[in-house]
Amino acid sequence: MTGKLYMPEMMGAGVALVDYDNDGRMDVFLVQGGPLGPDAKPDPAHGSRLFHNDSWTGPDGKRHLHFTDVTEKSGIRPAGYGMGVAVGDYDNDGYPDLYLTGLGWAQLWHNNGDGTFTDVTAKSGTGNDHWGVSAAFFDYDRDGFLDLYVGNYLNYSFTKDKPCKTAAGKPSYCGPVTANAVPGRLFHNRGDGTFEDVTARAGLLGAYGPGLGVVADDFDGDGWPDLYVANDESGNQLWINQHDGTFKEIALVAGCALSPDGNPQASMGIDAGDYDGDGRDDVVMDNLTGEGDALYRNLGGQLFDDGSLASGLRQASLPFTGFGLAWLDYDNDSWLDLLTVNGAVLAIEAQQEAGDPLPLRQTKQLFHNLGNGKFAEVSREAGPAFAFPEVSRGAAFGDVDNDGSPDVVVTNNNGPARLLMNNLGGKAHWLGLRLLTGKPGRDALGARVEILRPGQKSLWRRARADGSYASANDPRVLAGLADRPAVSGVVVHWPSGRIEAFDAGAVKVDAYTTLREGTGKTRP
Amino acid sequence: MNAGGRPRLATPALLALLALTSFTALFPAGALAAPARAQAATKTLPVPRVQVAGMEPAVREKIEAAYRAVASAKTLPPADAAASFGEAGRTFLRFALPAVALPCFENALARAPQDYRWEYFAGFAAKLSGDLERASHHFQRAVALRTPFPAGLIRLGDVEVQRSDLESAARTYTAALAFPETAPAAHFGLGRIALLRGDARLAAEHLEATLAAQPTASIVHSQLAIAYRRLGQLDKAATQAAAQGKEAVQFPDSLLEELEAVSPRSGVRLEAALRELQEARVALAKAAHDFQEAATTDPKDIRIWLGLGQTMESLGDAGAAERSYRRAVELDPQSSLARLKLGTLLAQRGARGQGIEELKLAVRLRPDSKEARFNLGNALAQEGRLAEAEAEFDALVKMAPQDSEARAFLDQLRQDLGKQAPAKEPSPPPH
Repeated sequence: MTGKLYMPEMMGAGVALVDYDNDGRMDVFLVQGGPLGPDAKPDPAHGSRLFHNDSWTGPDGKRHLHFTDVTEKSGIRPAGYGMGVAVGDYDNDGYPDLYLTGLGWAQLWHNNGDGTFTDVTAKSGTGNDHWGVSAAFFDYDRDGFLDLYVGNYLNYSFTKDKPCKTAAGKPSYCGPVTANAVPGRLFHNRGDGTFEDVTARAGLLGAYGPGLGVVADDFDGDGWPDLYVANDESGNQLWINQHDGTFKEIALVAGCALSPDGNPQASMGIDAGDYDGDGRDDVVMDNLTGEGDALYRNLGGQLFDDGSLASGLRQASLPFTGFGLAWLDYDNDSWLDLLTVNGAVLAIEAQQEAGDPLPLRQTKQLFHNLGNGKFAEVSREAGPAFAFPEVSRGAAFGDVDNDGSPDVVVTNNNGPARLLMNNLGGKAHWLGLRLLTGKPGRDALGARVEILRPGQKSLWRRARADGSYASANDPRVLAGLADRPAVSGVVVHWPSGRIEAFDAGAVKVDAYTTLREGTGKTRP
Repeated sequence: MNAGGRPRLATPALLALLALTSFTALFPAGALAAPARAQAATKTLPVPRVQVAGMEPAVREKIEAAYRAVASAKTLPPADAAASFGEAGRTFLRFALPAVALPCFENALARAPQDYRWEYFAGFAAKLSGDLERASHHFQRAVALRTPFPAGLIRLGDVEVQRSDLESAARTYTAALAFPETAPAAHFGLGRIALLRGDARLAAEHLEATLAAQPTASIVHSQLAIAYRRLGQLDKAATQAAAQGKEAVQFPDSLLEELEAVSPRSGVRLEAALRELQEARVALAKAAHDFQEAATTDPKDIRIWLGLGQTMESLGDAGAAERSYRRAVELDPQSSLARLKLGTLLAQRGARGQGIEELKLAVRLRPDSKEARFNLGNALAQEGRLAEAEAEFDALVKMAPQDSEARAFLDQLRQDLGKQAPAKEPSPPPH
């Protein structure tokens, strides 16, 4: 922290779980801030880091976690103060690439497949000289190539940044001036390694706010990916894909733009997932202290119901300012639970009084889905990591040790990253899927999977790297099956629009299975 | 003073701080009974310390005085001690220190359990501290102690909604319907509850009633849009969505006004200024509403959309302003003024590339528009396109040689471009 209360230092940074070398283990990319100020220069020694996951299993069957810093070899050199990261294989070569957002810069790093990366920002045309935070790869025109949405936050300049004051006149970080919001950018992938900025053509300039979270998902079930953008202290946007390269914004009338009292909220992290088991993905976001988490239940027909209060999430999260978050089934009971990582943006008086130089620390929260539309907070039972207050920001969710239970990597402002390992692996049955499309095969981001279970309702999950806050998740699908180790098949709704069924023999319970588009039984 | 006898409204600043948002039969048995801690009259809850270093001197003085009052209150007779604790609590609450304020109010209540003011402020402090159960308890007691207390009913209803106790909230808002000054807020509360319960028809009825009584409350339009969308009335939903804004439903709340009015930081002048600002906002909101009404009847009149855009800009709702200006451009792509307004706003909002294109069109359509040239030159300069900016300011200075601001920009740009600024007057001959 600079001590000068520059607003950007409160907002970063993100983290990615990415298997960059395709060895089946999730590696970690940590975005870093660095020197900050009008005359600050990037400091490579304190730049973002890539850690290779070289964990192994010993003869006793015990897994040993280990990561090696491979930043130097990777060649990744961020151009400035970092904010976020998105992951997607934009050139379909089978290796996931990295898109980094920052304060006044962005970079697309092409994965060369040999542990090194090449900066292709200029060549690809994906530069962004604004303050970008979250970004997402998704194939909005279903042409087989991942396009890119970059969420921008504010028009910021150090010279104009003067610290704000609390009601008692103490210097404090500022909140966003929504009039200074900058539109996000949509880059269309031409399929030849280059992109074109189609933001205006796609209609995305019609509404925007200070964007912090983004998720691409087929919210209306028409087989085309839509886009939800979470804004800070401004109404959120739901862009419905019109199938012709354009989007239509409907959040307000759909009922997912504002709080139930009609006020915009300071939305940060976001995720989409089917928490109530009705086959439609619902949206969850975390907000500023005093606002509580927002949950929009997808009713179908482009309508949402505010479930924040009825679920109990809003009340339980009121004292917290949330950033990274995700739907995850931490106990594999087949219901999606919720984990949020928190950290205030305004000084907490008690911590300040105690002399804490960074008095913004808050604990993380874990909510257990009770299966009846309600959640119970179980943070106290989730281990000491949940009792330890930090200034958490980014969070990437995925199965780091491949034991069938979701883990989480958390970044902290002015503090070390944390890897929270889920110890419930093996206590319930699960199904892991890696969904690949094209040749040699890239993760089919945006694919939705219906997992058919004998005598039980289907489970719906999606392959995604987007969501959370400024971070990228494990793109594999991990579904808990509770105590019944059986599935009767899976149906994959590929981003291309193709629907394919795979019978029970094609997938293995309590293990990861790779499914490739074009190898299942096509459904109309 | 409230010269006109018109109910004064709590200022937006204070409402923003507190908007986190009979009747014995309305409340559970025992609501009127003194709380348990009041029976142990001398028991005093500790008041947390906050760091005063870094506070503005005038504020620090007030905070330190409040702490001194807390320290000395313990030795005073109960009535005086209650007043000391209560006043200290109000000071802490005024400066957004609810966790410090709450024990002060509860200490005051322990000594003066029938004083509804301390219950009311304790309710606020608890709500702001995130303790909704405690807030509900205090607000319940406040409205039970003072009958009638319409503002208290609305505050209580808001907390009940946040607690997801919709049944209690509905009862409370229904009680507040009986009072003309809180009826709009009560309708708004009942409308939101109906939406949460999935009854869009009832929601629409309540929300329409809110707007009928308080047309400037633009926040209501968003909920009404949702209600009409669920009822399948898409046109109505779209109209409501277009009218959506941030103006809250207002109701008089004398205790809050009192809290704001005695703020040592604001003082009398600031209080007056805030009131004027509030009145100006009300006038602007009224203008926005009138423009929106006009747009409904004559949606192709570009003047309405330009006026609405300007009003929304003044209200600080840049998104709505941009939508209005875009509509104006759609209606008349040849309007230089519409392009100028849209381009300027886009450039200000950070979409400079788009803004510049609009401003270029504005200049092309009206080459003599000084404002368009100035704003275009300014946006180009901000984008780092200095040569193009120089050309625009050069043209502007030729058009208006007396424009000293444009001249200063031009000189600065030429300096940045490494060009010599032309001498304003011939140099005097050397001696």
